Amino acid sequence: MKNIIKITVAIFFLGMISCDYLDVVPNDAPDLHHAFSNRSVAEKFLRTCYSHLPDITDPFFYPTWFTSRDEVICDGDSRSNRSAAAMIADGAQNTNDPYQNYWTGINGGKPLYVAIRDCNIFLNNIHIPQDIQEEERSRWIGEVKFLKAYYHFFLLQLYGPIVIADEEEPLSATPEELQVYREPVDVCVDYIANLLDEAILLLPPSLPDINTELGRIDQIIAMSVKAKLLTLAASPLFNGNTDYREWVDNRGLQLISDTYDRSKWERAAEAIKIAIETAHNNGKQLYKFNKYATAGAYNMNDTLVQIMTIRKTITEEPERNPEVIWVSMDISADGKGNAAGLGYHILGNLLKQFFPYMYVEDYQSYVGLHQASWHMVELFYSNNGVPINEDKDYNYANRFNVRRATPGDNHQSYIATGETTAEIHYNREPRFYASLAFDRGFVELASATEDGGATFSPFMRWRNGEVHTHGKYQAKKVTPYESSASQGNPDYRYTPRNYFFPMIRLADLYLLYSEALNEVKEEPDAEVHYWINLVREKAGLKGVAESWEEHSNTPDKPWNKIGMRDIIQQERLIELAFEAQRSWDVRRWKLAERYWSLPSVRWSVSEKEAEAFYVPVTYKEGRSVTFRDYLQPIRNYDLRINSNLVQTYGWQ
Amino acid sequence: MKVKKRFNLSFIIIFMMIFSVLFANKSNASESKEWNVSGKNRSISTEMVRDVTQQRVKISGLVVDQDGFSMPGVTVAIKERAGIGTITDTEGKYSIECSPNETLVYSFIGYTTKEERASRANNVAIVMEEDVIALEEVVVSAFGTQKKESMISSISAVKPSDLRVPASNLTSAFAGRMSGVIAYQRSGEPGLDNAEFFIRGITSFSAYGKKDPLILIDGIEMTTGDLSRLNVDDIESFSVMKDANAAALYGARGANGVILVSTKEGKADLLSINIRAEINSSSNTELTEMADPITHMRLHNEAVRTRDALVALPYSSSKIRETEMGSNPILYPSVNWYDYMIKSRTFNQRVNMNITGGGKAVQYYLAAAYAHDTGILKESKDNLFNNNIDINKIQVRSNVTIKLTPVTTAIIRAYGQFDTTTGPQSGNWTSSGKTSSVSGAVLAFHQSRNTPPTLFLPYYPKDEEREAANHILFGRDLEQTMVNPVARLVSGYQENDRSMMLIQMELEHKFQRKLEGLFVKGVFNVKRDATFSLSRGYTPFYYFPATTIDGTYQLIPLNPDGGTEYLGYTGGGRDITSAIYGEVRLGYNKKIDDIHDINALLVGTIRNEGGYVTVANNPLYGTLPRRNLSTAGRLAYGYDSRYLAEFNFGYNGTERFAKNNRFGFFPSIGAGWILSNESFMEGTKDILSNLKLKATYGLVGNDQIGDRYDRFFYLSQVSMNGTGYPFGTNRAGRSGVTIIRYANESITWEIAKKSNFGLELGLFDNELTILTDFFKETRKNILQERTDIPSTVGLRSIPDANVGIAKGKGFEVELKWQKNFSPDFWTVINGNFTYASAKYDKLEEPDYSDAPWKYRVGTKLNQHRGYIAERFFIDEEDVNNSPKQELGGRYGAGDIKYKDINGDGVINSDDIVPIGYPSVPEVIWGSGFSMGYKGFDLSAFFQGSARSSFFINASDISPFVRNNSGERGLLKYIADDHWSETNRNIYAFWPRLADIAVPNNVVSSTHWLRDGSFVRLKSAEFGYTLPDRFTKKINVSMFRVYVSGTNLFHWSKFKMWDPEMGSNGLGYPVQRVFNLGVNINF
Repeated sequence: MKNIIKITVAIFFLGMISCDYLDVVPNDAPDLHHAFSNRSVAEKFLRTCYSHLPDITDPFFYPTWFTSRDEVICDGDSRSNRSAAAMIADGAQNTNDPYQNYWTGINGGKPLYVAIRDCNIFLNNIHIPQDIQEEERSRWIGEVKFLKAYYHFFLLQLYGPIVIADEEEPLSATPEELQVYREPVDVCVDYIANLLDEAILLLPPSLPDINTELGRIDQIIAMSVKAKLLTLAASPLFNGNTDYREWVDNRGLQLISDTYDRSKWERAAEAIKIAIETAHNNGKQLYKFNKYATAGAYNMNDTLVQIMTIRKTITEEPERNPEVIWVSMDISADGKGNAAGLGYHILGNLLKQFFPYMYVEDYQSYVGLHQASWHMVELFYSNNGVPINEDKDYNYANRFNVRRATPGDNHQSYIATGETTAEIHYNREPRFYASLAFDRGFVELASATEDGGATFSPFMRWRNGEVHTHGKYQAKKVTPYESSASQGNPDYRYTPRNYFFPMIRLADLYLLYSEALNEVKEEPDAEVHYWINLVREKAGLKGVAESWEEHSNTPDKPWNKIGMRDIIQQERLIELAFEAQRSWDVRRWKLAERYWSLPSVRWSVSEKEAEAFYVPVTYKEGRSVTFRDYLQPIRNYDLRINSNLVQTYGWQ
Repeated sequence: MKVKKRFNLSFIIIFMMIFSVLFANKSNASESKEWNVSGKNRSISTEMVRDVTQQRVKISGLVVDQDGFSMPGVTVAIKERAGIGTITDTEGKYSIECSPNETLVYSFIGYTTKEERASRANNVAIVMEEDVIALEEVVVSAFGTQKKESMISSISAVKPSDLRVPASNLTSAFAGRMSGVIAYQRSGEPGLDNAEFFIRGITSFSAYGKKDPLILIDGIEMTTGDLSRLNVDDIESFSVMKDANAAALYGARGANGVILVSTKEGKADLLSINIRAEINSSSNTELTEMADPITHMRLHNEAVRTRDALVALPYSSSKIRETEMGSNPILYPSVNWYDYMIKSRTFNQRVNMNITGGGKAVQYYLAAAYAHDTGILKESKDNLFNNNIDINKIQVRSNVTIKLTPVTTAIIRAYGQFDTTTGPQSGNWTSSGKTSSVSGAVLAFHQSRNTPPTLFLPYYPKDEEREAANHILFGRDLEQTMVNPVARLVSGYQENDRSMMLIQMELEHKFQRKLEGLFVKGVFNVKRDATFSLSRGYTPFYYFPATTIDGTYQLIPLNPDGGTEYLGYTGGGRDITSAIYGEVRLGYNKKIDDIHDINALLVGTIRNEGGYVTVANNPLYGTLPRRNLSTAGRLAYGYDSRYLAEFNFGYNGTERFAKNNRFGFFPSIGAGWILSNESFMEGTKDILSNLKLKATYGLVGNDQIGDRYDRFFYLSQVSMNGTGYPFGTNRAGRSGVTIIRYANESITWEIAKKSNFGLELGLFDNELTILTDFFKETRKNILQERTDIPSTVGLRSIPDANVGIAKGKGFEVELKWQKNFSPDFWTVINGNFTYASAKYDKLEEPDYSDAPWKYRVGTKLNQHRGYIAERFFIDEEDVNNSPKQELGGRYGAGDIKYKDINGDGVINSDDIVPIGYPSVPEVIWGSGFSMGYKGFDLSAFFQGSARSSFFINASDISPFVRNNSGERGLLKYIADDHWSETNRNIYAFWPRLADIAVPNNVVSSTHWLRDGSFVRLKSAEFGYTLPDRFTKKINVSMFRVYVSGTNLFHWSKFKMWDPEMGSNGLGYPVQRVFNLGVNINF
């Protein structure tokens, strides 16, 4: 009997064995507090905060490349043409499941509110690690504050009024507490500007050592972003835009102000000025190519040096490029933009797809599937530095005629002598030749140099039955001089040379400053001209006053505000062509109706003879663009969860 | 770091020691040969017996069993004088003094009691017979057995032989064989062909939680894989616990029902050897047909041209013409990839053998089985290795029962299971945009449909230049963007090895005398499971033929430096787990005064499973042990075999939850009434032989609410190897910190409230039996992702919460009719039917008040949702006059037109409605007969499935779509029936062709919805047993040959593939098997 009692007790005891038996998780399983236990892991978290930066080298998911057809196009490739970006360009943006949804981070967008929460977590916990020098800690805080501001800024660019996520909402928050509002644009701008100011105080003026710190944030970057933010706020999209007059939320707040306020331009000009000054004080200046510092380029003539100055502004090593302010650390690579989902991994490689076909054998590398759009061909100035349709000396009416290149043309470095090509390829400014590859033109690559870079071969042969035919142009500007393709040998493939894609450079700030000064002042003056002329000078052109005076059929255009605004805008579009900036500018200038609806044009693809080939063919009509296309819609489902959100105006 | 306590072995050892002490005592007690049988007259001593009247004589004798073995421990009592008696000694002998006129009563557990006049018993061997009826009437229940008559839980007991199908997978026999089980088989791939089965359907909608039953083999928790490998000949009993009462003892783990299997034990009998050998031929029930190569090229051209007039055609007319003429098959190949990769049939073998027997002290059941299964893929003759699936399974089982004393039994079970699988190398496959790893065989099926038929040959004949080449000249496209599926298949193989070993010790002691009815049992078990995989292969050399000037061809090597002629090796994963389990039972079964039937049980269990399991997103959690603790009990009371009552409980602990949520109490109650035993029913006993009503109600839990290794929801989870960001000109990267999960202290198990009402009916002397059960279940605390958190909060992962409630109900019927028309002619007809359906009762959903059809509440679990497809668009005008379809991408004439449910002029996710039946069938039934005449026997079994729907995955069959491994082929169904500009059939099977998966068309809609119901002749068997007069001559007690088959025919509205595979139809087809077997018993 005793035994039985023992067993009975034992059985119950089994169930009651101290709870420790079920406590199997060691105390040190990775938990959130481990992310801040020391400097080393906190640095990892710092990098996490950086990791959400939208990838400018992502062709289909970054919002500026293929979402319109006025700069670059991917419609020669049916797979690329189904990408999220191309769908937007097609007018297929929708509220059901928006493309490039940066609000929730689906359909190609990065989840920027997750990014902001990561920044908030960092800011709330960075006091914990004990082994950080206070100086470093405050620098990190400055960086993360900047990132938090930048993510808000990026959303602002896309959505206009946005939800400000200043605090890390606790998980215990009631659903009602999470029903937040989109704030008016002016409120958002002030919030972001303040945050940037806080960051600037904590950041180093410039990066002490780019070898180990390139990609991190310094004062110049933060000030430049602030300059861009305030310019955006002052621009027509958000400054006196009456299209959005009716857009109010359920508190009755108007989300985009419909009254023009010139002081916004003054504020922007001030910020740009500070950014430029800080940049200058820290050694930033416009880039100039040094042929003696580049292997195999010692023999280049001045024309080629000018082209290299323009191209290498984008692709030069950071150590040798004082112009670039902020670079992306992302690498253009296969598989971006969910290209695999489209059926072709390599479509996501931006640089590869802009790389021109030079030899038949290049097709093994699948290069050159994306092109520059027709609009860009006409955009660049004549060699006199004025628009080709304004140039008194430019044969604009006959620009589609063909002409044989002769030694007397002085185009030996641009067009193969003895070949016939379109008139529009002659007498253009150096930036035209540096930015676009065209039939019978050269593409300067290290692998194709001769005589130490004195000449380049071969020229592009892109008519029907030749090396490659698409009747379009390639965006040569983004192709590094050092890349190479097959070189006519099937054993060689496209060899990329990755560089640090610039996000902000000094010329951008100069042009912004011209633009802001022009808006602030009653009449454009020499100060307005000064900054734009610096950029023109670098591009091998004379100043605006002189150029228009001598060559334009509207010589006093640089002296009136509207004319000057036009000049600055075109200058900006030319100077920053193929740098993923155009879409932002077109948006803030409210010019999308003009540019995003352009039809798609190319040369006749089915012809071999020059006369027949050089006939512009409209192969696709443009889409209709309305005011609603300036800002992205929010997914309907998000409005269901948060009834205080209002849909972007025009998308309801 | 605080070091955690290891699993405490000492507890088990302590229990074992307590037992040993007890047994030692009891053994001594039973050495006394004469003792008082009943406790009532315990004061009467042997001395006193001798003093009684002089008439008494001494009777001595021997007790043996049917086979002549002497039986120790048999109680010999005197009928006329209660309480007086003796028991037989170790040699089965006894002697007793009594009057010659008195009657001696011989009794032993498990044997029919025998009476003999004392005068006749002297010096005579009394033969005891095994009580067959008593064994049959017992049903295996949780931690023990219960008399069938007094059973009020809902338990299906399946005759093991019913589960015998000619396949090496036991689970494939489940569908339709047992009432209350919803089962279906989606794949026929050897080794990966487990059927999915759910007890009374699925009543939980957690995303990753466990929904299939707990499986216990000899009381030990096992996986579906272990169950599927079990050899039917080894099974003693197979029970399915369905209601709360049956499963309550398993507490937090029994909510999805329990399958209890026990294996055979030895019998005290002469040596008996049973051998079964089978050989079978297996072939695909259906293989989806592909269009011929010429049609493929023509329609690819059409697909490109019909969507975009500007794009160049993929095939020139000269290529089509040359291919059609077939004059130059090397330069203009025309390949049916199936022919190179898939065989028409394959052969498999199985042998198993068991030996059983034993004496009074030791009884044994020894079994060994070998099965050889092969896949239906073609092998390459040029390889030394076999790239087809080839599985060798060996099982060894030894169950040894040792009677330490007549009332103390030890059982040692040892079981080993060793599988070696070789097969094609697994790889990644992208389906519906999601890439996942699939087995090599499934990949072979997919890739055979994913390579253009006219681009290159699988391999080229050796030309002069390469006559001496020591490798196969595989073909590939010039750009090398396609996979040559034959090269992929034959260039390597993967080996997966699994060893599972299990040792189990059981010790049971039945108390006697005043404690009769009381027993104690201990079980201790160790299981070790180890798997590894690795692959070997070479890199193929690829060639492409180029035309030479003289019109012949020349092979261009595509990777002259890339291929290898020797094998390389890649290591794979290895997982090792080891489980220890201990259990102590204390039970009391007694019938008092023939009226009060008491059955009580108390069980304590402890379980620890450790070892390394590869878990992708949290490796650490995969290594932490999985532990359970429980105390459970049962108290059943029966009054006069008429009124029954039962109480069960489980009190369980699990390691998965926060401290305050680790233990749960799960009680259940039940009552039964056997009407047919009432005196007022006496008159109808001949017709209504059995009528029982029963009802149970209780709680059961499910602790595996998330993925098996996704535990510890009370802890946040952080990956320190998340996405980082590089700094510096050399892009020096460091990883970042990613929050995988946020902590939630309050997460705990699912609770199922189950009620059951049953009716058992036996008619005409139980010739016809009908069992019916009606059941209802409310499943609470279902883990669900929160839906009210806006994305602006910025959470990395959406937290889960125990918020969902689902309600299930259904009924099941089991019918059996058996009749013996003559000793030579017998028949059995049986059938069962299960209907189970569950609905969302509560879950978090966004506000859909403007589109109430979007709410899930009130709709069925696993309900399909999609758009309502009306037809195809007729022309562009039709498109312009219809609501705008915002489903992504462009669409036009010949694309699917959907219904605008809310009438807002836009087709978007608000227009998605519930359509069709759920994906899991609501009805499963089976019906069969077997009959025998003399030596012949014939049986057939039909199985059906109804009320389920599935989607054809349109994006997975969209033809001509380029992907990373090739280009999707053209199914014949699409070639034969699609919208085209010349044949604008707006109700065709396939919309306008395209070389992409048109987003507008591939969304889930009624256009792709199909009825999943089917009826199939699941199995049939015809056998012949040789008459005794032949077999006796060769010392064989039984010799039977039989032919059988499974999945012989099916009837369904759906014709593209085997309907049982549902939307998985392009995987490895379900197999049709013809089998020849022989069974010999010595």
